[in-house]
Amino acid sequence: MSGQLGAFLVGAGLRLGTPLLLAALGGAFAERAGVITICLEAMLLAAAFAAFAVSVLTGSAWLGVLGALAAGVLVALIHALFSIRLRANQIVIGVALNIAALGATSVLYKTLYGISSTTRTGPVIAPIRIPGMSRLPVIGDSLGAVSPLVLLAFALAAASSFLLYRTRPGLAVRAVGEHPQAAASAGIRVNAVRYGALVACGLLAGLGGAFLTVGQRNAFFPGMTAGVGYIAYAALILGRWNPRGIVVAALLFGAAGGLQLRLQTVAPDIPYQVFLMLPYVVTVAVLALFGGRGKYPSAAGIPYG
Amino acid sequence: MAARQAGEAARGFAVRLRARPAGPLPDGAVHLLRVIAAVALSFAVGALLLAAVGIEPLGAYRALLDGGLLRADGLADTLVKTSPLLLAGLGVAIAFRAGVLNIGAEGQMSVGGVAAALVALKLTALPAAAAVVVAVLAAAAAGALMAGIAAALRVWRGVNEVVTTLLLNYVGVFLPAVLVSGWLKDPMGGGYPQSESFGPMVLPVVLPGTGIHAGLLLGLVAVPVLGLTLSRTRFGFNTRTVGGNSLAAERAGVNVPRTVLTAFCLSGALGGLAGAGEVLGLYHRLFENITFGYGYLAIVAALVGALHPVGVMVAAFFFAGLLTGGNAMQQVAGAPVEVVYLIQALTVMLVMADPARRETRRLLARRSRAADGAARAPVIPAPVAKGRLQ
Repeated sequence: MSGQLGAFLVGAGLRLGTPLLLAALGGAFAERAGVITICLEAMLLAAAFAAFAVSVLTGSAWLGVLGALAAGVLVALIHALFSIRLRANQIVIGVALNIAALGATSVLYKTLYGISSTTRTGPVIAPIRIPGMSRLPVIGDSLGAVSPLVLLAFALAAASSFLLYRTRPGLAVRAVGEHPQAAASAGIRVNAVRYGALVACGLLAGLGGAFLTVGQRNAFFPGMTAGVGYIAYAALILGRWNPRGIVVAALLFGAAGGLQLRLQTVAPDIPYQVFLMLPYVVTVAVLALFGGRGKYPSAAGIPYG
Repeated sequence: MAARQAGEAARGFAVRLRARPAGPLPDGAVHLLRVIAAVALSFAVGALLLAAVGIEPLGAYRALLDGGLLRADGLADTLVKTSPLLLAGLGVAIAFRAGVLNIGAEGQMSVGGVAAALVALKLTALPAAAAVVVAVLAAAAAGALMAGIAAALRVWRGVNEVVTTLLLNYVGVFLPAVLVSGWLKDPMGGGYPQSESFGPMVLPVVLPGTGIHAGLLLGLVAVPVLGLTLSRTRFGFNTRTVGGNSLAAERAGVNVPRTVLTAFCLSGALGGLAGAGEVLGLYHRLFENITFGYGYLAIVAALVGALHPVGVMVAAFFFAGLLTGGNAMQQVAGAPVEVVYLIQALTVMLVMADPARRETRRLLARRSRAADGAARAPVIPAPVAKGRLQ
C-alpha cells in the first residue's frame, strides 16, 4: 500500500511539479538578472491557451508547443517593456499581467470556442516509454511512460544550473542582478542581459504552460491555472533561486498537489475544497519553516539606467 | 525581495504625493493626467482585441457606458459594486503606504464574509441590530487575522508578503465553499451550496428601490477617517514614514515592526469589512464564491487612486462602473465581460509606467544617502524585527 502511495506521489510530483519546475526555472533566470517576475502565472496561462489553440487549429501537439513558447515570450517581453523600459513597479506589473492574461485568454477562448456543453479537446504529446524503467521497484509504475516534456524539463534544469554557474553568459546574468553598475563598468550591457533573461523566462514558462494542455489532457478553460504560477514563484523562493533547489521545491509542491487529489478519494465526505486548499497551505507552511531570506539578488526590482 | 521593492514602491508613491514636483504641474494633477491617458490607451487596446475577435468595439463600448453609468439601474448597480472595492481598496492603500504589499484582499474579503455569515446565522439570540454590528466587527477581526499571518511571517521570518498573501488568497477563497457544502448548507436550498438566509440580520438599504446598502456608507465614512488618520495621527505619521524610508523611521524612533503589523492588520480588517458588506448587505446569505476577483481589483483601484483615500474612492467607482458596464456589454453586444479585466489591468500598468525616470532618480539618490555611514542593509527581507523594512 505504501509502495502504491509512493509511486503515486512520485508520479504526481512529476506531473504536477513539471510546470512548476519550468516556470520557476524561468523565473530564476529573470530574477537573478534583477527583474522580479510575479507574472509567471500570466506566462503559464497564456502559453497553455496558445498551446491548446494552436494544436487544435493545426492538429499538431508540437506546433502547439511552439505556440506556447511564443506566448510565453510575448508575456515576458511585455513585462520587460514595462519593467525595464518604462520602469514601473515590477511586482504590480506582474500582478496586473496576471489579470490581463486571464482577461485576454478568457475573451479569446469564449469567442473562438464558445461555451458549449462538450469540452473541446486537442491532440496530446504521446508519452514515451523508457525501457527498463518500469521494472524499478517503487517508482516504476509512474516512470514507465512519461511525457517527453517532463524529461525535457529535468534536462533544462541541469542545463540551467550549468549555464548559470559555469558560463560567461550566466555570470553576466548574475552580475547584472547583484551589482549592475559594476557589471556595466566591466562592459556588460545591463538591460540587454535583462531582456535576454526575460526571454529565457518566457521560453521556459511557456514550455511549462504547454505541458498543462498538450502535455496532459489537452483541454482549456478560462482561469485553468488557478494560482499555479504563484506556487511556482514560491518554489523559486524556496529553491533559493538556484536550479537544483528549484527542482526539489517543485517536486515537493507537486507531490503535495497529488496528495490533495488522493485525499479527495479517501475521504469523500469532506468537501473537496478543503483538499484544494492543501497545496497552498503546505506552501505557506514550508516558507514559514524555512524563512524567506537567502541568496536574493541585491539589485532586483530596481530599474537600471 | 519584495521588501526592498515594497519599500521602493511605497517610497515612490509617498514621494509622488507629497514631494516637490519636478515640473510645472503639481503631482496630483500629473497623476490624474496619467490616469486619463492610461484609461484611454487601455480602451484602445481593448477595442483592438474586440475587433480581432469580430466584435464591433464602438457599439460594445457604448453599451458599456450606457449600462454602467447612464441608466439609473446601471448606476445603482455600480454604486453597489463600489462598496466592496472601496473598502478593500482603502485597505490595500494603507498597507502599501506602510511599504507592505498586501495582495491578499481577496482572501481577507472572503474570510470576512464567512465570519459575518457565521455571526448572522449562529448568534440568533441577539437582537438583529446588535447582531449585525457584531457580525461586522467579526468580519474585520477575521480579515485582520488573515493578514496578520502574512504580516507575522514577514516581520519575524522575512517571508515575502506578496507570495504569502497570494497563497493565502486561495485558502480564504475556498473557505465559504467548504462551509456551504456541509455545515452551513441550507436544508431547504434544493441541494444548492448556499447557506440559509440571514433573515433580519442584514445591513439596511439606504436608497429604497435599489440594492445600495449601508456597506457603501461604511466605505464613504472610512475615506475621511483614513485620510485624517494618515495625515493627523501618530500612527498615520509612522505608517507614512516607514513606507517612505524605514531606515530613517527607525532612526527617528518609530517602532517599525509594530507599525508594519498594525498597518497590515488594519488593511486586512478593511478587506474583511468589504466581505461583510457583500454578505450582509447584498447577498443576505453565504455562497461558495462571494468575492469574484474584487480583491485583486481593489489593488488596481488603490494604485490608480495613488494610494490616497479620495483617489481610491474615485478609482473604485470607476472600476465598479466598468464591471457593471461590462456585464451590460456582454448582454447587449455579446462581448465577453473579461475584456474589462484586460482594460483594468492595462490601466494600472500604464499608470505605473515612469518613463521620465523621476522616481528612479529619487530612489537611487535616497539609497546612496542611506548607505553612507549606515551598516550594510540586509539583502533581502530581513525580519523587520531588526528594525528595517528593506
